[in-house]
Amino acid sequence: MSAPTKDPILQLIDLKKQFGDVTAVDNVSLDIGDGEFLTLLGPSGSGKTTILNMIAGFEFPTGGDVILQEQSINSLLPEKRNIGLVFQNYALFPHMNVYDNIAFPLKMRKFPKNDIQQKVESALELVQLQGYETRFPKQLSGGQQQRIAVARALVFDAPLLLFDEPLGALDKKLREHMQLELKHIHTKLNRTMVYVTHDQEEALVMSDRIAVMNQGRIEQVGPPDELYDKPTNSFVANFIGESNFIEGTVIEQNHEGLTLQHREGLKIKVDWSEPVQAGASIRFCLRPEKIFFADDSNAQNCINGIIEEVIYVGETKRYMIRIGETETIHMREMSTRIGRGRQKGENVKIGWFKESLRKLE
Amino acid sequence: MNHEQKLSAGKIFLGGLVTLIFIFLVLPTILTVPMSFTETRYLAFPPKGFSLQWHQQFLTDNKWIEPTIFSLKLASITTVVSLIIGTMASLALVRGILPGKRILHLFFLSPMMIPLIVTAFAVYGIFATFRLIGTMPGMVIAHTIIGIPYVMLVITANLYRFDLSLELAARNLGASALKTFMYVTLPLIKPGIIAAGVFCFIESLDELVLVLFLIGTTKMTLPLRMFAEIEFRISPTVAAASTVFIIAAIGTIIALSFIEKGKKQ
Repeated sequence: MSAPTKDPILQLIDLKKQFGDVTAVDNVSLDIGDGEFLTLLGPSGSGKTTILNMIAGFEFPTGGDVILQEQSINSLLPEKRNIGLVFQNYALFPHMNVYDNIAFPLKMRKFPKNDIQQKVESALELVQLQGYETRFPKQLSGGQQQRIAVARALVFDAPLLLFDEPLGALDKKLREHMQLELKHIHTKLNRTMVYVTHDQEEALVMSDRIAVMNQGRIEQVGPPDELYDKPTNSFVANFIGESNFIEGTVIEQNHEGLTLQHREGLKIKVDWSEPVQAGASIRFCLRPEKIFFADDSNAQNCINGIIEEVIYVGETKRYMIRIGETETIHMREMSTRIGRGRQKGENVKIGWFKESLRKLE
Repeated sequence: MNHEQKLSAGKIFLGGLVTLIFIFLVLPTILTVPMSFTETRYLAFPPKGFSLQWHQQFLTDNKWIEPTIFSLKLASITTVVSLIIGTMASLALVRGILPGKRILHLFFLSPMMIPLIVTAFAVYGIFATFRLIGTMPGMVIAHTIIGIPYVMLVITANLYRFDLSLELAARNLGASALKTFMYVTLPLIKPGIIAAGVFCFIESLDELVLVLFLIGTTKMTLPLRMFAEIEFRISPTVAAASTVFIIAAIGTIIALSFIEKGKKQ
C-alpha cells in the first residue's frame, strides 16, 4: 500500500463500524496527506459512505479512531469538527436563497457581516456563479445547485472537504465537466479532499490516490495508474477497468521469466522475476487492450481462437474470442485501426507480450 | 371520436353532480347570511325587510361580547399550547429512539377516535376533584387534549417527508442541534404548523360537548351562547354571529392562500 507523499492531515486507525450483525467497515486504516485528493471507490454497500459519515461525525465508530490534524475527533459533535461536506443530493436549504445558504456556516461561526459578504462573493466567484445571490435552490439547475453546495462547503476554510457521490444525479456530459471543475478547484485551493464514488472512471480522472473498497475493507490504495497497471487482486483488477483472468501452473522459471501450463494445453510466458514454486497455481490479469491480432507478430504469447462476438462501441471494438473449449478472452481494439474488419466466426491468432500479464494475489 | 363524446357526456354529468353536492353542503351556511338581516324578532326565511340591528346586538351586547372574547382567548391559548406540545411530541415520535413508538403514536391520536362525550365525562370526573371546572386553565387543558391529535397528524406527516440530510448539513456547517431546529427544521415545517394551528383554533372555537360538561355556571363560550339562544328563542342574532364567523373564516382562507402564493414567488 502506498503512503501519502505529504504528512497526513487525516488518519483512520483501525476504524470499525458494526450495524447489528453487519460489519459495514472492517478495521480500515488509512493516512490521507495534506492537500491530497483521495477517492474511496467501491460498489454500493462497500462501506465507503459509512467511513465518510464517521469522519463527518454522523456515525460513531464501533472501534478505532479518526485523527484530524493530530487530534482525535471521535468524540466531537459534527458541528465542532470544522469539516466541509458536499452531499449526494446537495442538501441546500430550500427556504434560503443562494447567499444565505453559503453564508450559513459563516453566520454559525459569528463572522462579522462584511467578512461574510466578502467570503460569499469569492466562493461564488470560484464556482462561477456570481450574480446568483438572490436565487432560490429550486430555481437552479442540478449542476448549479451542485456548485452552490461546493461553495457552501468551501466558504468556511475547513482544512478537509468530504464529497459523498456529489455528481451521481447529473447527466454524463455535465458530470464530466464537473469532474474537471472540482479538480481545478482542488488544484487552486490545495485543500485536502476525500471523495466517495462508485464510478471508477470518475475516480481515475480526479484522484491523486484511490482506495478501492470491498465489503468494508480496503483492497488496494494507490495512484490511478498504479491501480490500473498493477492491481494486486482480482477485485481491483475487475473493478477498475476490464480484465481477463488467466490461471496456470508453473512449469519453468528462468532469467526470462515464468512459463505456465494453461488448462487448455497452452504454454504461457510471463515476465516475473520473484521466485515461485514449480507446480504452484497462479492467477494473472490481462487487460483487453493489451491483446492484439498476431498474424505476423513476434509476441511471446500467441494463441489460436475463434471470434465469438464482435461489439462495436464507438472509439473501440470489442471481441470475445474463444480459446480451446472453455476459455473466452475479451480483447479491445481501437476502431481507427487500419486493416480488414474481423468477422464473427473467423479463426484468428491473438497475442500479447509477456510484460502485459500482472500476477494477482 | 364516439368514445371522446361519451367521455365528455360523463364529465358533464359528474360536474353537475359535484355542483349539486357542493350546493347542498354550502347553501344552508350561506342562507344564514341573508337571514341575519331580517327585521323580524325571530329567524325567518325568506328574510323580511333589511336591518342591521342583530349584527349591532352581536357586536355591542355584553351577553354576546363576553362569550366571544372568552372563546377567542380560549382558542388562542389552546392553539399555542397544543402546537408546542404536539410539535415536541411529533419530533420525539419521528426522530427519537423510543420503545413502542407506534403505540405511543396511537395513544396521542386516541382523543380523535374516542367519542367526545366519553372524554368529556372522564375529564369531568378529574376536573371536579381538582376544582378546574369553570376555569380558563381547565378549559385550555380540555381543548388541548383534542387539539394535540390535529397538530400531531399534520406535523408527523411533515417530519416523515422531511429530508434528513438538510439537518445533517446544518450540523456539519456548524449549527448546534438547537440552532439546526430554529434555522432549518422549524422554517421548513412552518406551513404544517400554520395549518395545524388553524385546525386547532377552529376546533376549539367550535367545540360544544366538552364545554357543556366543564364550563360550570359563571362562564360562557360563543357556541354555548348560540346554543342557549336557539333553545330559548330562535333569535336572528345567532344568524348575525354566524355571518361574522363565516366572513372571518373566508378571510382566513384567503389570507392563507395569499401567504402560500407569496412564498412561491
